[in-house]
This record gives sequence, structure tokens and C-alpha cells, in this order.
Amino acid sequence: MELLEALRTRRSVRQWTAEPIPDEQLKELVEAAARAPSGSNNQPWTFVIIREQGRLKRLRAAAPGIAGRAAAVVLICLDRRWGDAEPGTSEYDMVHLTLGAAMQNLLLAAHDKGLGACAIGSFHPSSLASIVSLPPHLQLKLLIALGYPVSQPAAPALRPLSEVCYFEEVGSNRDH
Amino acid sequence: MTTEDLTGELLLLIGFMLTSAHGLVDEPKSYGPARLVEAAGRLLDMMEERGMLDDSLKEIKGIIDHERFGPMDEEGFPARLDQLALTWTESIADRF
Repeated sequence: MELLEALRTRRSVRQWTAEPIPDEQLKELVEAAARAPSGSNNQPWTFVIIREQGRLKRLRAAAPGIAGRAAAVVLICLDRRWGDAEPGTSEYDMVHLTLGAAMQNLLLAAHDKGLGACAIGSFHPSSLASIVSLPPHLQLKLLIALGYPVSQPAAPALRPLSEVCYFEEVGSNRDH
Repeated sequence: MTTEDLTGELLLLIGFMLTSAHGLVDEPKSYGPARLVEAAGRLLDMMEERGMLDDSLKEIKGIIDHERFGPMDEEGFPARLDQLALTWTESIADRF
């Protein structure tokens, strides 16, 4: 799929079929995520892939943001061994932006492979840490719920470019 | 479906409700109604899998599923919830 086409057609998919995703494909998605740019190339992430049914059920009960029954969930964790920083510092902001870039890579790679995915920020951190036995140096930041989509959701409403983009000075929209 | 299956599903639903309650302490205001709609949807999933929904209830479940799985559309959400609640109330009136 051509990249800009993928950007235009990607949707947040929240309802999936029961078809499992092959492990090789899941690894390819994480490989795409780990190609995201990172400050000082610190690659401050660790990914955990969940595809076992019992664990998925427990995870869905502890992550209220997951609506449907995902075939797999990828946990994106800040790995403090490589990206430890105090809140309020620019480094702290940077590692979180970096994880966001990894998230977007994963979402686009999933879309390219005909999968549907949704980034989830609503979860109970300590319950999820218990479910997947997260060690203390890993801090869960995001979940990506994945599967083969039941249908392609409608495009969400977007603010017009003229409201969110300016040339040279904010408030000057003569070029739009 | 066995009683054990149902017990397991209810335990998971209770987990969803408790972790939702914790998250909603500081999540966006609109997430609260959405979590209740999701809980209603999960209960209807359980009923549907056990053949407990008639056509009328299946139709309302379709509306609920659209809210659960469709793109987030906060504009008009309160009005849609208002209509959904009334539709539900009227659809179960004959049973009582």
C-alpha cells in the first residue's frame, strides 16, 4: 500500500473477527514500530505481544478502552533502562513522543497488512502489569488492540486544514 | 454454554466495571457514558450468545454496537443516548 494512501484510509478499528494473526506477522508489526525515530537513538521501548485467549480475556477486563475481542494486543512499554527521565523534563517529553511515533508505525503497518488496530490509553496499569508479569523497569504506556476487521469504519470528522495549519504567522490563512 | 462459562464471563465483566471505575476518576467526562454503554453491550453479547435476544432487542443491540465500535462522535452523543434509553424502556415494557 502506498504510504499516503495508508495514512488517508487508516481507521481506529474496534471490532474484529476471531481469526488469529500469525506470530510472524505480529513480529513484523513490532519490527516496524521499532524503526521509529528516537532521541539520541535511545530506543526507549519494549513491546509485549499477547495472543493467548485466556490472557486476552483478562486483559480486556482490565483495559476498558478495548471494546471488541481483539485477536492480539501489543503492549508498548517505556523501558527505563534506556529511557528513564523525570516528569517535567524535555527528555521525559521526548521519550513519550518517541513511543507515539512507534505506535503510529505499528498502526500503519497493521493497516498495510489488512489488519485493523486501535491505540488504547484506558487501562488499569497495575492489573495489566500483573497479567503480563511486567518487571519494574517497564512502564506500560499504550496498548494496540489488533485483529482482522469486521468492517471498515467510516472516516471520522476532521477539522479543516485552515483551522490547524498556518504559513508564517498564526492567524494568517491567506494561503488556504 | 455452561454455568461455569457464564460465571467466567460475569467475573470478567465485573473486572471491566471496576477497572473502568478506577480509570474514570481522571479520564475525560464523556468516557463515563461510553463505559456504561460498553457494559450494556457486553451483557447483550452474553445474552445474544445464549439465544436470549428477540429481533427487537437485536435491533437495539445494533445501535449500541454502533456506539461501541464506530468512530467516536461526541457531537450528538447525549441526544443519541437519550433516544437509546427511551427505545430500550419502550422495548421491554411488554415484559412487565
